[in-house]
Amino acid sequence: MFEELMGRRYPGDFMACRPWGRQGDRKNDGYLSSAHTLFQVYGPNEIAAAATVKKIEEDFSGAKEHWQNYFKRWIFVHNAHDQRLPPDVIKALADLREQNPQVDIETWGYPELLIEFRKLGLADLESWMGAAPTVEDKARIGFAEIQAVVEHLKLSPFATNASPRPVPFGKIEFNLLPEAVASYLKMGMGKAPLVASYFSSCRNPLEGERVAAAFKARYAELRGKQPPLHPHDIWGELDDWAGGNITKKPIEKLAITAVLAWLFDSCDIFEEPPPRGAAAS
Amino acid sequence: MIHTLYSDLPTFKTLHLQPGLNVLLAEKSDGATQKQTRNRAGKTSVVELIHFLLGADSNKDSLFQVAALREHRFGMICDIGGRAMKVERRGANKTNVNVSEPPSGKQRTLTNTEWTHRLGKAWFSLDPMGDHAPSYRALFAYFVRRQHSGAFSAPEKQATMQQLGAQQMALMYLLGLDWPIAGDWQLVRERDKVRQVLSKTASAGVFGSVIGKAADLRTQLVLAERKLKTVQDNLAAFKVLDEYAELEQEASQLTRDLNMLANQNTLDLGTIQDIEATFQTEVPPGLGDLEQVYRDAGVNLPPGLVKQRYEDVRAFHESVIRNRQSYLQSELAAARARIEARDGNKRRLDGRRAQIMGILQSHGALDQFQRLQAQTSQQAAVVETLRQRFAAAEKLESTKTELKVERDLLTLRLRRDFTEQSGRIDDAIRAFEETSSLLYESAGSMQVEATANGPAFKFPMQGSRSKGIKNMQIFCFDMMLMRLCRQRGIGPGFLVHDSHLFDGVDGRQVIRALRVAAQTANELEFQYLVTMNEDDAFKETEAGFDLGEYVLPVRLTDATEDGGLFGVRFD
Amino acid sequence: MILPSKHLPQERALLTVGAMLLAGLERPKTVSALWQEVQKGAPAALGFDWFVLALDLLYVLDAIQLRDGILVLRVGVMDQEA
Repeated sequence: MFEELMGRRYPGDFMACRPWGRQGDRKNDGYLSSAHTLFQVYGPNEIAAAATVKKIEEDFSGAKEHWQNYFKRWIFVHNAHDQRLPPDVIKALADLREQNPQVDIETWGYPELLIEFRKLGLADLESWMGAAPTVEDKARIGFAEIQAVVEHLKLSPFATNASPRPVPFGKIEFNLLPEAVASYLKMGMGKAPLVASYFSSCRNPLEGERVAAAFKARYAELRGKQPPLHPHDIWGELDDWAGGNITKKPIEKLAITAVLAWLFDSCDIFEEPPPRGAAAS
Repeated sequence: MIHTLYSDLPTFKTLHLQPGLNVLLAEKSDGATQKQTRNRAGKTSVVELIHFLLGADSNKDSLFQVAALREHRFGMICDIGGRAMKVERRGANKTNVNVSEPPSGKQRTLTNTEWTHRLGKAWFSLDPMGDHAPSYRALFAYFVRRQHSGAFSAPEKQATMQQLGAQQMALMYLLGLDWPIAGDWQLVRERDKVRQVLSKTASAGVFGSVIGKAADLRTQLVLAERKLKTVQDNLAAFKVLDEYAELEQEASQLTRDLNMLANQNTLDLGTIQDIEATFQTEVPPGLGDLEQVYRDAGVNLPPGLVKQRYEDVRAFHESVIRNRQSYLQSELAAARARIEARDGNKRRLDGRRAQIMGILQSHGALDQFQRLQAQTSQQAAVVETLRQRFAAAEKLESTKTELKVERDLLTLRLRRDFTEQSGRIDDAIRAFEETSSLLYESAGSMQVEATANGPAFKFPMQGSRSKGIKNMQIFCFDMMLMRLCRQRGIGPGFLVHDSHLFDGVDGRQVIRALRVAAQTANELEFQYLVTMNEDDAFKETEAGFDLGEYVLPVRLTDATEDGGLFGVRFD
Repeated sequence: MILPSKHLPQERALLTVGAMLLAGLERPKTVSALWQEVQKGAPAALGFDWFVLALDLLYVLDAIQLRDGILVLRVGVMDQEA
């Protein structure tokens, strides 16, 4: 995944380093020659401080040994869930910086990779991810598509009396949703009013409440899973659930995203941040 | 022949020369350093002086530009066109020579260029205006070879730097062959050189992209022309429409309206589906909802507002929906009517939109037209550039072919000429071999061949790599030239060799060569001036030949400051 | 249902629809006549079933009665409203 991203982002520049025979990868997971940058990728299922510190120290000294003349920047790419590295790891990195003033030492998590991801061109994204909804699709989306989503959901007659209120600021950040999801949300948000107006003009006035309740229940179910799912995985599950076995044409994907955005906006799914002014826990 | 060499420099040793062989001796003292020897005791100076007076350029390195000699007049009396002429020249006034016909002839001042023209005409029948003819200087240099321009490197060359073409031309001229062939050859060679440089740059490096291969360019050109035709056709078919923008806006408004209608239809279709679904079920729905309403009323509304028992409410409800079917039917009908009305509307809007789209497709806006125009002229420029590059590349490639053809033709022409003139060539070869056989047991030979690169002169001879043998080949060659020129009545009538000719030559050969030279000069009535080191000249003797008879009274020496030709020392 | 909620806009809440129906009943009307009238004037599409539920609510609150197929306002309701 990392190689795929960087390879597309810097074609002809980024060199992925395959572990090769007995030499291993020589402490190099990829090299960006124009920027003299060496990458070391570390993605365990669970970041454990001691193991990570060991990994960082081993990899860095190995990199120095093999690639000394080729890099000025060393980037440790990790997959810590909430972008937070354990304090020991941060200290280990600080020590390395202290000892190696000639090398820029950085860490990359989801946000940094996302910055790279967002710089990819449309053609790259399509060849990688499949076709994305085009501007034309966005313009053409209508009730028919949303209805298709709605039809699909297994609705239970269930009403809530939650009072309407504005979307609290910072909900995306609060839920630790990665940028990729955020940009989907923003895309869907543009169409959320259309969803709302559909529900407010369809024959059964309770339709909206029913759909929201169904999603809410599904979200609660996902949230309660053990081990806990990462928020972006929950998003993915909801997306799949909403899409079900619909053929995923871009326009249908967009319809689903719009419905999810509408639900997110109305706080039926995901967590609400505490009201501003309250102490964050 | 040269009669006298003189100067107004008081210390200059005037030379009076005889017909036939003249030997100017220079004494090489043991004490003389290498430097003094080189310091022109006079052997080479004689050669330089003759050149100076017979049209040579006199640049700043010239002997006659040194401070000690610059201001002095040098002169010579020499036969030109059958008459003795006096010519004088000063280094300080190098562009002019003074010419007169002694004893009483009026002195005329000529530019050096005019002088060379006159000499060329008199000695070689050259027309100064003639194109591509050998120059007088190129021909004359064979008769007075100059050591410092490398004239003793090979018989056929009078200078190391002499171009092959110039050399071929000069020799063919002197041998009375069809010399313009050599001239044409030189032209082909020059064009080929240009072509090679061009094609080298065209196939690589910075200019590769500028010229390129003709075949590639042809393809590119065809494509570019096709594209040009397309844009030109577009331009020709372009109809400008003033209301373009307004129509575009209307079309997009229509699209929006159509979308809205479609959305509303979707809603009504939903309604229809909803109602039709309730027809399918036997039991009228709504009781669940009714209970919910009743419950909610108790919960959400201020207490005490619920005034009826549920049973009564249900009775009320059922009496109200007794005719539900027909109500629903009317609701259904209304929805259908709305859809129908919208569909009519949609058809109308759609028709209008199609009409607009048609207009927009067949017409264009003014700015689009201008863009198209700009594109057309841009493409036209691209085509033009390609066309020129293609022409250049094609010319380059066809030049190669042309040149090959021309070379082939020239080779044929040369062979034909050699066949027709075989008598002359044979004479030359014979003359060379005769002289050679007088010097050596196994005679050296000269070969003249018509090669694909013009006439080639070759001198196969055993041991020809030694300096001495080479020099003797030059001697034989020059004697051959003198013979042929005398027969044809061209040339200056004298031959000058400085002592370098005898460098590395065995003493026996030297004396023999001098005897041959003396005989040949007598026989052909030309003057042969040779300068020699004294000890080289008398190493050996030759029966029936007394070299002393030919030695000039003036002797040069490097032992003293005033022993040289000029009698002054200059560095 | 009765009151607006997140996905139930105010104009579709039963209480709002009920109020609108009350306004249409300043003179007694058959269910059918009221339905026709409401259909013309309703801002958002109103289905018959929701219309009936709104009537039910009015009945629960003792604001209307059904007499021989005619819907009648209970005395004093309009005064209370005002």
